[in-house]
Amino acid sequence: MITYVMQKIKNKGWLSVCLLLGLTFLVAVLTCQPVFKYGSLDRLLLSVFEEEVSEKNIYPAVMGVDFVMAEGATKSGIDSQISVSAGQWEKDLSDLSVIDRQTVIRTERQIGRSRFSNAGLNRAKSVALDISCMPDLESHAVICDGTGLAEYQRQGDEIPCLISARVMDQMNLTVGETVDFYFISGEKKTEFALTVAGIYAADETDTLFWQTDPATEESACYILPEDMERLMENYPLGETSVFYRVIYDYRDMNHTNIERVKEVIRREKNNPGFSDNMNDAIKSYDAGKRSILTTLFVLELPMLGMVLAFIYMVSGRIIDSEIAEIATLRSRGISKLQVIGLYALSTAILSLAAIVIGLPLGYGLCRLSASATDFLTFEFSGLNTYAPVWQMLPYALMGAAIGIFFVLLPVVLSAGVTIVQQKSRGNETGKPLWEKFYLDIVLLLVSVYMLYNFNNQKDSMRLLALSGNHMDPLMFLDSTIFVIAAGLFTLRLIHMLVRLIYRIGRRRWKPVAYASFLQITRTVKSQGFIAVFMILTVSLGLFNANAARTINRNYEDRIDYNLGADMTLQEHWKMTTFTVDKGAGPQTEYEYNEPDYSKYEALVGAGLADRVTRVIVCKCKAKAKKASSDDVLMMGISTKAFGETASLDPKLSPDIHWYHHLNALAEAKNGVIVSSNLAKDFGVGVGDRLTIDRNYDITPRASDLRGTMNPEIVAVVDNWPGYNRYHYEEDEKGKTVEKERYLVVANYASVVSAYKISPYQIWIDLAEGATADEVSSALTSEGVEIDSLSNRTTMVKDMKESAIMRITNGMFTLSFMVAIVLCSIGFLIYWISSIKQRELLFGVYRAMGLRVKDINHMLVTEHMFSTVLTVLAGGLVGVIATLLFAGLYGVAYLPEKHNVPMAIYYEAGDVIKLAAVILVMLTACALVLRKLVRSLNITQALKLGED
Amino acid sequence: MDTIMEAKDIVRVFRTGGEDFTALSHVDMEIPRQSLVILKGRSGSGKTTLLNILSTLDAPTSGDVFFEDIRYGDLSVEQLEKLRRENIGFVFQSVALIPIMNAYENVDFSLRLAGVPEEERDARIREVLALVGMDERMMHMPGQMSGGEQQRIAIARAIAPKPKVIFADEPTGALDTATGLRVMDLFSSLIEKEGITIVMTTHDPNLMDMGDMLYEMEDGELTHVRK
Repeated sequence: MITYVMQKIKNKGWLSVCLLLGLTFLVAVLTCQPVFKYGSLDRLLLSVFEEEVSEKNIYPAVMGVDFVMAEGATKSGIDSQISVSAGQWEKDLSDLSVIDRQTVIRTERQIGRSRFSNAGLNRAKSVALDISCMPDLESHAVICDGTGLAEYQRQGDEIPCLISARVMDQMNLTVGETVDFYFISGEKKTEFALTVAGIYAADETDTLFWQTDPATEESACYILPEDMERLMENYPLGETSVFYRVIYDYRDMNHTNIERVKEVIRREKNNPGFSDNMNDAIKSYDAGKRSILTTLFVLELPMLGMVLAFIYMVSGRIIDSEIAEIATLRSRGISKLQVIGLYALSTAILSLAAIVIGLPLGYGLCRLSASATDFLTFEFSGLNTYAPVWQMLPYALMGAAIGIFFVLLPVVLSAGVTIVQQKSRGNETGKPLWEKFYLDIVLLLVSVYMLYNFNNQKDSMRLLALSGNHMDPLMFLDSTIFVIAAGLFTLRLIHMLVRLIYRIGRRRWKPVAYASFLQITRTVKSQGFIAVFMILTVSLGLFNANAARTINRNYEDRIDYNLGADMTLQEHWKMTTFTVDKGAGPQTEYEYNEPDYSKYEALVGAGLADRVTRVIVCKCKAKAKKASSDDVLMMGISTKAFGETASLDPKLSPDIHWYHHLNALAEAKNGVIVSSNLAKDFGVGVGDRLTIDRNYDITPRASDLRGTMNPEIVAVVDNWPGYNRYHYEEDEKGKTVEKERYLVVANYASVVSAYKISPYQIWIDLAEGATADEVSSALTSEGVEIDSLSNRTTMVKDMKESAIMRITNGMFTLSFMVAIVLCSIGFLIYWISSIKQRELLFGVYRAMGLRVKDINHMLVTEHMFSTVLTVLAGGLVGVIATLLFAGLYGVAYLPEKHNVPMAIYYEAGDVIKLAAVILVMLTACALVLRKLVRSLNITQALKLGED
Repeated sequence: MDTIMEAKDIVRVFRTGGEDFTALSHVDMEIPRQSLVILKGRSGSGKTTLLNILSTLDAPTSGDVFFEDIRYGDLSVEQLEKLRRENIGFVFQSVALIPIMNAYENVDFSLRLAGVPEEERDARIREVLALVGMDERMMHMPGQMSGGEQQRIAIARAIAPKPKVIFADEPTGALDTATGLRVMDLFSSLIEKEGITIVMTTHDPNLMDMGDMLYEMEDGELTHVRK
């Protein structure tokens, strides 16, 4: 049996190879799925944690418990309570790497008296302190003044303590100052004294350790743990609060253990002392995970469909060529089931080989597609998370099973065929089923109706996507349905066109054209499959390319617009405090110290920048006759420098160049440019005045008014560099709502004059060839402390390296490559088998006096009307699908409304690549066919007919 | 009798598996105009090889073939193809109708190939289909016809361009005896009505008496001739 089956596989030669190829691709595409899925999830997880670090400046993988111990608590009591409160979850997460464990022990607030007498008042002052201890504090802190606790030279029983600058300020303490604490119980008086040994601040290079910024603590002082232990034992310090934190290494977290972390957090919610700071990261991860799974599923589906169609086609070809053998077997008494079993066995053998080849191929394809940073553009870095996973094996087995099913489908349909039926089957010239039952038109109507619905729901879909809900997979599937339906429909049109052309010249056609037209119109059914395959490949290829370009370019456009210039940065500004007395007693005032600006101008001289400018960007309140709003973005600009540095796509200001608005502002010292939504909502226009208030936007005086401006509106704009009108917030119910922000742009000088100097951004137009990294290192080497820095290159890179974009670019590229490979092979299979099947016919033609040249001509005519028209139709369908669906894809990927409208992008390069591949495919096919026709021996061919 | 074709000292050697195999050995043959010439012989005797050489589908290793005094050896491939298109018709054992064309179109195709003008074609198609008794089924596809019917269409296709000679290789081989005899009757009436010459091969002893001339092939040699 096995020998017979192996012989059968061998006899089928290149068709068996094609089937093996199809099955291998199926296994590869499916095994690619778990690698891509888990790799992307791990990548996503890493990125959400890193985003927390970079954007919120907190270390995000911390869990802990807080509890209060009754007076008289001991160190061992605290330790055993920690193991009670945190023991279970620490055990559950014991496989995660722990960076550090911190325990802060803090007493109730103690009131002491400073030994320093206030000069003039001659009385001791009261000081309220939370006496605390935190092991290892000093190794993560810098001592700004005084000494550390360990080095402090104790005088008698005094206990050294460290305080922050803020506590020093709040409590009016100085280094060396001693505070006495007394406790009277009946007649017994006990006391101890704390001496300020030094002022500490967080070591800024050690962000992991500091869960609470010392700068925000108002009354904490830190002593050594052994002192704390002694105090707790000997003094009635009241209840003791304990803060226990475990800092996990988030780089160690992956798609598996994060689920356990989530489970622990869910369970521990009932524990009142439990806390964690992973909520936002987990929320982002969950939202991203849903997107990843949906995207992966919907982008992989057309590819799978194509591979299955390929397998079905090859299997069909094999069965066609073996139909006589099947009929003979059946007539010899072999049951239908036995025939199916025979094919199942041969397919199982091929599937086994497909698994062996498909597993590494799938992994390779996954790595290749994960490295796609754009459509058909690869960058082989950052692929560590895409590692082999055990799930590849079940996926491979599933692939083999599905493959066997699809191979057996035509077998099942043909296994019952008798010799008589088989003979009549050979002459089928009718229409394919889809054409007969108008399946193309039905599917087209369904997809257009779905598209219409999706377009109507765009706004709600946007908000759903922004709330972290995944997009409806049907939306993505709709584009595939459309491509298939439109492909079939254009094929129907092509058939009609060919029939029409044939009919127009029916009487006059030369023999070659006559035979070609009849060949095309009468073999629609057998040609149909490869034609559909061809249309799908070209249209999906083009659509994938355009969709990927559209998503990537729109992302980049938004980045460009939001940034406004090549790069922007915010230097750290220091503040000076001073005391003023405006009659209501002494009051602390704050003033920013403007850093030296000339170092930025020096960037121009150093060849790193073409132009730099400073831009004050702040929030303010605006009032006019009709309305007011406190959601107004204000920019203070130096008009000329801003115009030279910032950039705005001319398409976004089509009627009038934005430089005209800058000129208008330059001419009006007290003028402002406002956004069109402000002008509309406030009922103001050019010539009207606004009142603009600015508050302190820094603690602790955020509510104090910094100043007021009363400028005149000189221009109204829709778009402005760095200004996006739309932003999204969660309402009280946690629902995402869309809001509009207003813009006012004023002269830099008038902003400074109204609100005093305040931190400004530096906008830089980079010199050609210069990079943001070079600028950044040039500045840091000069000791510039940069609070934030944004630049186009990094933002685009981050965007392209994000898990979801890797999936998108990867899947689009992969499905295109798979389609091209399968289509090329499918195309060759079709034509070679078509020539082989027509050998007798060609022999007859030749015997009747047709030349080899005529037969070639006949094949060229067939190609013109079947292949070339099909390719063109595929291109047309791809373009229409892009126009209709790329916008919808945009909603899924860029759900936020934006000043920059979604544009559809095509790239000539993609069309050239696609055309080149098809051309190579056609040329290869033409060469093979030419060789076949040339080697055609008339007498041999006629002999075949006799056989 | 006027001779339309003549074969002189034809030798055809095939090289298979490194060895020479002589399929035809010094064959001389004359084919009279407007006659039915039957070439009989066992399978493998060389009759199809001779037919292929006479009909220009194959070339002899040595010897000459003349068609109305034109020597095949003097003609280029293109000229041979033209000769085939204009003067020679074929009827194959395997029927070999063009499966994508109906009966009418099959005949039409051969007329187009022979360059018959558009205005003459329809009448001629109907005429030859009526001649073979298939005018009622002219729009039927080959798959919808029996073997005998298909063979009749093949004959109609062969005679439609009015060739001077029709070569028929086992035209009754796939047919039952009754249908085979009907085809032979048809050949006889065509020679009479259309003035053509038919050269056919067969190994059916029932048909031997129906020809004007009988050649017998054995091991590549023309061993017996009966006029």
